[in-house]
Amino acid sequence: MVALSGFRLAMTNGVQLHVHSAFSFLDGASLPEELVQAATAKDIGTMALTDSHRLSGIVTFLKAAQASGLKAIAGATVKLPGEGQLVLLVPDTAHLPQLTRLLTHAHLDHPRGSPQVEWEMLRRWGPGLVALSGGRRGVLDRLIYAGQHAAALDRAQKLQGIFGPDFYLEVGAGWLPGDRSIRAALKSLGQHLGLSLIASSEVRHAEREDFPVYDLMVAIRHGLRVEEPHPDRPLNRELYLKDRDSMRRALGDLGPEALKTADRLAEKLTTPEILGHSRVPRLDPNPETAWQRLQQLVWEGARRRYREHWKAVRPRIGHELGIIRDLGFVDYFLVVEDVARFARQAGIRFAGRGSAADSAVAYCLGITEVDAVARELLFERFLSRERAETPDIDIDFDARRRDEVAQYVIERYGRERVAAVATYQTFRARLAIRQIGRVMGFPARELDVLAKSLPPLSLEDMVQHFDDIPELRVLGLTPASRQILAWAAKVEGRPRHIGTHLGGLVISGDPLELVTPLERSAKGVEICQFDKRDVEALGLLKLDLLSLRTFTAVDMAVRSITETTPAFRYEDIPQEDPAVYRRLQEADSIGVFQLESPAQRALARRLQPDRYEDIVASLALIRPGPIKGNMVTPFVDRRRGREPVEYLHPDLEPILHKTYGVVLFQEQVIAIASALAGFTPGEADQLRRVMTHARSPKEMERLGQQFQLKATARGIAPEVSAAVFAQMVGYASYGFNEAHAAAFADTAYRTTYLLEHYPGPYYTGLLNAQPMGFYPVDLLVTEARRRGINIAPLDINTSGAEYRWIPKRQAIQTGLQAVSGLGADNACQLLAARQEKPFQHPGDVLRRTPLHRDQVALLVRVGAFDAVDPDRERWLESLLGENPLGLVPSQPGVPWTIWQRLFWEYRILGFGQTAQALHPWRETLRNQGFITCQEALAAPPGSVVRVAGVPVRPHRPPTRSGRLMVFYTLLDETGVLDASLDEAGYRRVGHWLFSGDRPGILACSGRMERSTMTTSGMTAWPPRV
Amino acid sequence: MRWEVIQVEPGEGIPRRFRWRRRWYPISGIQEIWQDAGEWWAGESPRWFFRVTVNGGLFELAMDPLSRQWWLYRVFD
Repeated sequence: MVALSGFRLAMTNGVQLHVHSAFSFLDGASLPEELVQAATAKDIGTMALTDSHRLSGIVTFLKAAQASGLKAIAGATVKLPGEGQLVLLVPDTAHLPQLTRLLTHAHLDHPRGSPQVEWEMLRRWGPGLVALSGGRRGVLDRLIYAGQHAAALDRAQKLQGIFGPDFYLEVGAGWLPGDRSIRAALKSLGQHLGLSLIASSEVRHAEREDFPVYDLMVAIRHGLRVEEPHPDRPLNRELYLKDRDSMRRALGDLGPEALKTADRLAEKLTTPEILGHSRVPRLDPNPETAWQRLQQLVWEGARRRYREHWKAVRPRIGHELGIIRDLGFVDYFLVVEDVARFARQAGIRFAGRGSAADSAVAYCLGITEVDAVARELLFERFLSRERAETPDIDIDFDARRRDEVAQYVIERYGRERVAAVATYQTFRARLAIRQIGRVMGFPARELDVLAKSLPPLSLEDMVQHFDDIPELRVLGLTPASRQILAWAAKVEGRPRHIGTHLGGLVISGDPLELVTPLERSAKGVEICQFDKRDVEALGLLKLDLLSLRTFTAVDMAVRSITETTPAFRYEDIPQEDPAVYRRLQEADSIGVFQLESPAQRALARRLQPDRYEDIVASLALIRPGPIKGNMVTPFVDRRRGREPVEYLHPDLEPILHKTYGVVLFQEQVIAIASALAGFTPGEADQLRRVMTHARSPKEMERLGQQFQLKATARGIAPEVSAAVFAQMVGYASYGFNEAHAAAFADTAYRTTYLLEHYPGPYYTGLLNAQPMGFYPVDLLVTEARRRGINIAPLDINTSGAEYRWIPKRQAIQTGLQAVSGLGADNACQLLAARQEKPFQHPGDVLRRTPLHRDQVALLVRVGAFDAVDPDRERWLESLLGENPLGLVPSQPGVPWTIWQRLFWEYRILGFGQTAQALHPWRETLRNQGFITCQEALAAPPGSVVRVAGVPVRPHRPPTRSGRLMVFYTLLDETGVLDASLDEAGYRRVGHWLFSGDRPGILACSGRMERSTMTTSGMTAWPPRV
Repeated sequence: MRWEVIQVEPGEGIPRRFRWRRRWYPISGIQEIWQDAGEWWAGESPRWFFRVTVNGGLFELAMDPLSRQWWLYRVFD
């Protein structure tokens, strides 16, 4: 590749050293790979990526450049406060840390979102870097344009003092007003100081026609309407990647000299070599000691996990350890073990997920809870010599305590070596619509309706199939709205700003600022400038410490349970409890981890799970792939004995017996390739990965020939190997990782057990852990009521901060934090004040706590003072009316109707403490011929029913036939009814479910089939005029 | 801004002389050339601008490259 890039450089004559990509966030339109592609097409041999205060695009840039033979230079554009911008280029790998340090200080030493570089910082980290004067927004051009030539001379001298001959005067080829006079001034400045002029196009977009996208982004950045001018908004379309001829034309008589300087500098600069070097921290400076420590921990764990059978697992563990050592991941495993140990000792609930559960070593180290040996899971799905990639170990922690774990990591490995992983937040459809619409001058309220009506398609698809999408069609969009969609489609998917990865932390062996600039997230956390994929390319160790609210719910439930049953231990929940499976068979699993969705409950009705493996399979089956691949019905039929279990070859039986001959898991493909075609496990995993990602029939054919050749050589009949390969191909795009399914199945089983045997504490935990799961609070409360649990209303003198389980009353009492707009701090202050004496009056709360009047009014409206006096009207009068001090007794008010109560309860708490929203309407609904959800469920199959309810979670998942199908749930005071709507129905009435102003209650009719309603009619209730 | 339609005799990519108020003005020098994107969102095409000196006077001319239409954009008195 080096020789190739040298060849291209010699043969090409284009150089661009000041180039912004979309990673300049709203100050550049094109992706790095688009710029590289354009550079190649325009015969540009050397290009620098110089995004504003960041290197986020550099990994993609380096990879794309390497693939196309372009010489890639790293750099950044920085802003000097009050002066203008400056381009800094990295001459070689050794000088990269200077730029990363400079950028880190530019971010961390200034308010978030306003990075800048003071002269002092330039003096400290600048020497050794190459500086360009920054073009039209640069330090010098701005002064010259303003006629301040003496000041320009002064700044040029200062910069020359810092960078010496490595400071260049950038002459732009942007065809902007004033270019000619600025160029003339720069020429004389250069002659006066002995500085070289260098050609630049100050690129902001790859092609000239990309200008509108760039212009829209700039308008968004400055909050401008499209017709509003701004000094930072270029007047023309000329800041694109120009070829040599276009540069020459734009630069006039300075062209030859300035272009030659660019060529000379391009030859001098080298591509930084930063990809693929391991930067994993070492817990012990001596690798041999670390290796011994890992072995010791693993074998201790093996004895603990496998007890007297531990010797039987020795070969497997030895095999895994050998690969871990050979690939250099000893320290990585020690770090993860260390973090897991901390969590265990601190009593923080956690579980490893993903392919890490394919590892017996991870199981022995206490990182995962899945016994990879007992399940015969393949380690090579997780880690193999052939793949040699950093393994991904994801761990779920109790959401409330995940930050404690992150804090431990920071303290243990050093603040300078740990940072959060970034995410590149891109323009999603809704955001693009809102922001582009604002630029076009449309009101936020209208844009909100449009944005909320968008189906889950790309904007490009929406533009093309506009008239087929009912939720857009019913809006009756004007040409202007269509224009918004069309422009929004142009920015969709482009990076907009940097965010923080939900759980990812990087831990580096070297101080991080040598590898990546750091900045501060909205929450004040230090983040690196790279996302998880780029972090891996940079050789940094990434730990995914994820927050799982289910563990929060479990933890709270367990605390409630042990108050009355001290001997209860979540870890000792009995396996294979028949009551757990009965609950799943009845599809009565709302609240269960991963098994509560309508699709999972529908599967459970068909599958009738009665063993743990059924749960594991269920988790793998309800995924887009198996549904599209038509695997669900064959699996269920075989499992239920309605279809014979057959194997194409006897060697497949041991691999596929647990899934009844159906290829369901990724691990099974690896095992098949090994057993039939003699692939090593690592090779087989590579085959699986290629099969999973290969889309072209040609590529698949090539793989098939390879597989069949090897299988035939091992004596497998060609027709058998062809059939087996076809089965694997059918699987290819949707296989699921068995280890991950098994890890989730454990939590799914245990949470079903809690729901079955301890519904009160478990629902209490679920309510406290919101937002989480598939369903809203209203539905969970209704489900709790259906199980005979009472809802004790919020009480100013007895409620806690959180929802609380009261065993004696078999009731969940609403907690203060459930009040929207109150906040956790205020709830705590209120509880502290209440310890002195109970509250007698809303004014009492005002006097004794920092709550303001509106917040106390919220408490009154949801009945928090009802136990003192249920006259809410009088309380509100005393609080907000003519006697706000509460010194004069108010007149008794009119008691609130149930509708008034529900209005405020739903608005403030999100559910009805008094009753579910449909309850007071039941008589009216009966008179109109509507039955309840439970009555519909009890109706014989084929019955036509009319049900009114609150629509919940309408969605359009992929289907086997590829046809569009909508699923939704109706909720009333008796429970839920799952329903479906076919494509024709969706086109007719889909807007009631998906439009931005969806009605609160829908009246639906349809036919009952398998406990689900197939919808035939739908409208708002009460009907809209 | 005048936007008066004028007749221009082009040279090699730049104007040589223009006719305004029934009189030809030979261009003695070009001080600046720039491009303006125009109101692209309204379908406008980009225009080129030339600040030219004419026998002691200073003018700005504009051109639509698609229609080859020229305007006198500004006169500096």
